[in-house]
Amino acid sequence: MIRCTDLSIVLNHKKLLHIENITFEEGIVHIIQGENGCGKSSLFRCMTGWSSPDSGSCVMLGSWVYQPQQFHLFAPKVLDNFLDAELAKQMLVSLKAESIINQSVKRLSGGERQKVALVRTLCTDADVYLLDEPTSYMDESSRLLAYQLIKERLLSLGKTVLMISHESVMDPFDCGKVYLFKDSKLNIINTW
Amino acid sequence: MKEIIDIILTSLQVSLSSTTIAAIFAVPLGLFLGLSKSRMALRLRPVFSSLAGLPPVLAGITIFLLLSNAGPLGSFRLLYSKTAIITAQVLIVFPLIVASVYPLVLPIKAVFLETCFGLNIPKKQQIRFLISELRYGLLAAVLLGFGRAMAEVGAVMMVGGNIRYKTRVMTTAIVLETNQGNYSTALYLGIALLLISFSVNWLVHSLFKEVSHDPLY
Repeated sequence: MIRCTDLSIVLNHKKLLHIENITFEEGIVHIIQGENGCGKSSLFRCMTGWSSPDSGSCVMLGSWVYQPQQFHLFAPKVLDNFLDAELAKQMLVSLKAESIINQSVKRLSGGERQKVALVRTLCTDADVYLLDEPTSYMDESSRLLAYQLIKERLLSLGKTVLMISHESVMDPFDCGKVYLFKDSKLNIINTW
Repeated sequence: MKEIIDIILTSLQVSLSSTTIAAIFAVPLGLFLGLSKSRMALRLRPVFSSLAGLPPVLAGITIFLLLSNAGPLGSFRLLYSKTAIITAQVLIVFPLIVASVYPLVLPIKAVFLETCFGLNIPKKQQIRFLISELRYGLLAAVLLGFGRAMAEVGAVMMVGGNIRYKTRVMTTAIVLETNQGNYSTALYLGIALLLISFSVNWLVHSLFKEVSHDPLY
């Protein structure tokens, strides 16, 4: 469970976002949408404690894993990014990317880099997963496979997923909520 | 010939020793200065960059004054010894390595740290990952220091005294042989120094080429 209370983030003397009171329930996917620069990534950073809000608070119960939008892959090999190589291999097979496991990270495309980062995140056990645009560079079919993997590996085990995405991604998931940032506020626009 | 070999070996011995000692302290400090957000780190970065370009003769005179009979460490009788040369070279090489290491961290720092934070990677493992990421750059920085130590003349002459079979290194021997008119010996030593310098530079360039081809850097 994640609860944000009176959360405000100010950037360059301008209020970037203000959330009065919001609770993200456990065990479902929460998709957060909004224009570029509206504060979606800043919200994730405040939730994890990477940065502090200007006022208010965010409480996250349980363990969490956070995949930032701009992530780093550990060099030199893709394999160096996983503690459990066997599990990672299984997930890469699900993403039809098993061929990259022994490749050098510097030879990967943007989409392949995201697949490695996503698998690395999913290999880490936690209660809450915060994914900041995890599929933005992937092609359509890879994206659907990634959502399917998130569903199988996380949601079916009762994990909570908060995902920032610009795409309409409701279909692959059984239930969840879509939030939209507008005028510095976060509103639920869809529940299914 | 025996003397030339002795001079080359002495040069390699003191330069390798000073570079190793300097690197043991300079690499962690450089990584710390690159990673740290503290004000002290921000202030120390330009200090080390400036010290990297400091005239070596200043390091020489500092060590000379410290080790001379009237100096605070005079009782150890270290002046005109290999230890004195190594100490002076450490003083020259240390800031050079620090100033070469911290800029390696800066371009990847923000994304690297946020990724490690997001995956809850412990600090010790983060350092291990960082060293693995920057290994070519770190090695190049150390080799740069070694090259500088090998090429040093002024400070080495001042604290080593250029004593035959004791503290005579390639650079000081070249100066001496040239002054004495033994141009052939000076030339042999010059060629040996040039070969070592070329080898080190070639290694540094190949490593930096490897680094610059890596989009992660």
